[in-house]
Amino acid sequence: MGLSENKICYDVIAERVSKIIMGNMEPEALHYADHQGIKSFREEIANFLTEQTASTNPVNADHVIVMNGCCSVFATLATALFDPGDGYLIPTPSYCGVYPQMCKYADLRPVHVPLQSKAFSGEIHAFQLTIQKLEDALQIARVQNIRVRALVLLNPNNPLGTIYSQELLLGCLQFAHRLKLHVIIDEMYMLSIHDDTPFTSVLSLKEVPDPQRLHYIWGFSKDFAMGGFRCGVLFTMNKEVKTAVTQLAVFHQCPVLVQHILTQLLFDKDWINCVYLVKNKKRLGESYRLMFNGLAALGVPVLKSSAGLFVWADFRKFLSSPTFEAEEELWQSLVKAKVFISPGKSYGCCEPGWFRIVCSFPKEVISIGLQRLHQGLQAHSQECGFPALQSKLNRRKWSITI
Amino acid sequence: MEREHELRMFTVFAQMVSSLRADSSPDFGLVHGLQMADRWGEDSKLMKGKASARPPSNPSPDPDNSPERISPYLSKRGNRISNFYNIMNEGYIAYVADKYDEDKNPNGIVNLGTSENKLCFDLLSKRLTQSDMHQIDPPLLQYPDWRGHPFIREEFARFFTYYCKAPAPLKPENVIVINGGGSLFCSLAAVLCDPGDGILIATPYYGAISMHVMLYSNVRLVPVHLESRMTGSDTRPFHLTVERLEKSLQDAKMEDVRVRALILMNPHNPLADVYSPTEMKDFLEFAKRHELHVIVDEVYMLSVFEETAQYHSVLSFDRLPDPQRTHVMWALSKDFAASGIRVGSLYTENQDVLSAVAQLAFLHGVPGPTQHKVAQLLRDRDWINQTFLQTNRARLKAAHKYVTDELKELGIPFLNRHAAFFVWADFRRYLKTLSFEEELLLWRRFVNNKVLIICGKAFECCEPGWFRIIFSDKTYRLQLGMQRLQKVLKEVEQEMQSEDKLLLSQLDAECKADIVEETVLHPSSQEKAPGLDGLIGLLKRQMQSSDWLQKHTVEQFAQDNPEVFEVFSRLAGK
Repeated sequence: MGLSENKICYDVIAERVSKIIMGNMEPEALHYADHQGIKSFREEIANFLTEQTASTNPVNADHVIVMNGCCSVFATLATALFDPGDGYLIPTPSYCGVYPQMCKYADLRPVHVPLQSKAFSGEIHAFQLTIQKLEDALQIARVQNIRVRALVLLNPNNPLGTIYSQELLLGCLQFAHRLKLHVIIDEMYMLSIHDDTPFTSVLSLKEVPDPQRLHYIWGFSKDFAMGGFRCGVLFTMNKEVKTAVTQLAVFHQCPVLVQHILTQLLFDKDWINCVYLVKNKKRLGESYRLMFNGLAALGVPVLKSSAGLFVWADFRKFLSSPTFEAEEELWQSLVKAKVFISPGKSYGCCEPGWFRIVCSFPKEVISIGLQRLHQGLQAHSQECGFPALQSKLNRRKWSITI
Repeated sequence: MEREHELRMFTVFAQMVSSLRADSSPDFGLVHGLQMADRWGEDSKLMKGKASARPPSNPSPDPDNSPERISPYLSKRGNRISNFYNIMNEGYIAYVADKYDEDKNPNGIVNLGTSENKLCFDLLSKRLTQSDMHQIDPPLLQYPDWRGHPFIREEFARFFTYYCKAPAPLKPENVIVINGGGSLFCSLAAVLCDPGDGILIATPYYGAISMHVMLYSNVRLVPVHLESRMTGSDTRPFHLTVERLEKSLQDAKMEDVRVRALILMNPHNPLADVYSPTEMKDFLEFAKRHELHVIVDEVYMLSVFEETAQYHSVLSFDRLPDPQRTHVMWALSKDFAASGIRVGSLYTENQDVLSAVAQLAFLHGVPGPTQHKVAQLLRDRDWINQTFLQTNRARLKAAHKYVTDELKELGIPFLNRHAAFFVWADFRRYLKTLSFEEELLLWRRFVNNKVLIICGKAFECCEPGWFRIIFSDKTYRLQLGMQRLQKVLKEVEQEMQSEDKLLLSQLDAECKADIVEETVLHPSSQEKAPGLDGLIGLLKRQMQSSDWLQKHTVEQFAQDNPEVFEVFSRLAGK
């Protein structure tokens, strides 16, 4: 339950993809193609994004580049916008994969904007991002002589599963504009919202302060449960950024065959809106609630969230001490119990004890996962000598409705 | 550049001195000047080789001389990447904007420039659309092992063992599969080199490699310049030898370039040469002596279409001199005519290199369904041997014959080889002067006449006038392409005849290539030799345009060039 993949809609996707006619193969499928993606696919993506994000202006296919995954989009943007050693602001906890994507080729330094579980005055919920926190982090970067060039935002957030409000989004853009920072915004989970919380895409904002420094990322891996297909998209109106990124895109091309398949998938708007998204939302919601309730029964609080394929769970009371070493010990105990969840340290969380648990599984798998979590926590409590906790766990009869 | 200037200065001096000496024949200085010029010409070539070891920030500057764009939105690195110019790209972009199609766009550009095999789509599409190809198992939709799913790595290991004729079974754990040859060069450069390091490569070479190693990693290619003129023990034009490798390596060291690796392509692009096992072993031994990694690109290994051209993969050798530093690349792009499928692989015994490349491989992933298709294809030994390879090679051979017969008709010399998809042809007689500017002009004329072939400069060839022509295409496109080439060549011939231009000597052309504005008096010029006043005026202008005299004293010159100095002294009457 560590890897964020949507495994509950495999049947729906596989059925649809299998129907896509493979009998007709065009010669172009086997030839070198436009590095930025074939025109027909980029047009389909532009239409798709315009519709799904309710964008203020139609997305132009000429501003779209297709690559073999959002990780490649991050890597190429990082290389083009930054010099080695430069920094990027990123609210944490944050998807740990952003680091290797920004850093393996590009050699950058993340500047964390730490968010805490305790909601301070003026904050509505835990782990809330504020402009003041961005300012504070930037100040620290300056003191450390790190030249910050961009702000990276994931919305919906990974691992928190929360959605930024329109005001917060705009506030971040205005902050970045003031400081001439680029904004790289990844909306990879925009269609993985399991309740009715409204989602505001950055593309739907009426007034973007600095459109030339806004770079938008989306991909098929999460929203369409096709991480193995390797397809991610960059949308930027900045021609110069696009030129530089296109040069690098040669190393990250999405094969033409895959582009053809996905073009046909996107073309089928009825299937997307009436079949897939409906089923996906329903199943994600069920899985989320199952996991939420199951963890509550274990005495594990969960941050209330609306999106993503995971929950952000509070295991602090199970730590032998409020340290990252204790967090790792707990993680090891759970691994011994054959359940893999991701510790908060790997997301740059500043507080030990938080874990991300992926829940986009069939019910049976969630049930097994919760049972093993129970066993792991019991064993761990025994080792740590938490008699009170242990007995509390033993008192609860373990049951889950399948 | 500096040596060219020295040559000009010396020529002027020689002419001045001969003017001063009343009893000297007016031609003496000129003849001697010519002899000196010959010698300096050689030096200037060496210096060119040296200068090339110190790469410019952009290996192929935009020949239109437009200033590099500096964008305030990009970092320095981003601007460098953005400004990276590659003439192959320019040609390809022109082609994409105006593709020839016999029905929809008959006046479009015929592409005899991009190295793709368009002769076997019928065979491939039939095989790739069979039912065993359409599997969508859950693991194929999910994140894979970034080194490639185990099934595909096993398949590659078996494939290489069989087709490379390895003496012992090759291991899947030594294989990584990523999305194409470009990504392989890119990631290998990142893990074997540091920014600013160099990789040796013989010229001419497949020009895109510069981009592959430079864009992310700022690694430079250190050219080992080969010439068409055969000297010493050369057995063919553009003959790569260990001596030339040693020399280039030494030159690079003198320029403080740290060379980490050597790239060998076999069969070669663009020459289509096939190296013998002895040659390859010599190159590998050279690399071992200097502890260089060797990246062996065997991407055309199955595209050798003449039985007599004996091809041997390095993986067939009983023993590699330095297995930990020998890394073999192959991709489906060429041998399976599937450049759009984006699948390439690396085979090496060095686990450190494999682990490092694996760290980057998540940025070069191959889609699950594609991995399945490729594994199915490679596993189908019967189809490969009985259906595909025989037919493919026969078609390549026929297409090669067609294009080479046409070239013979036109009287255009070419390297007659039997591998890969292209012919390396000599268009030097169609250049008004032997310069890269003229080569580019000719290239543009071809493109304007709607046929794309690639000029030698795109391959960093040190001699202007060579072009690579693709023949792996359908006959009707080859016919049309060759006709369009011929049209341009006939026009050029007529122009050259009517202007009565002499083809200047190689040396003159090199001087002219670098000097645009200055007036040059050259021994072979048809103009009357100027008087003393004219020479003094010219000398003044030459001196003012350079700090040459400050840097180069008489004593220095005597030390560096004792023979020349002796002649000069005699001329000056000392």
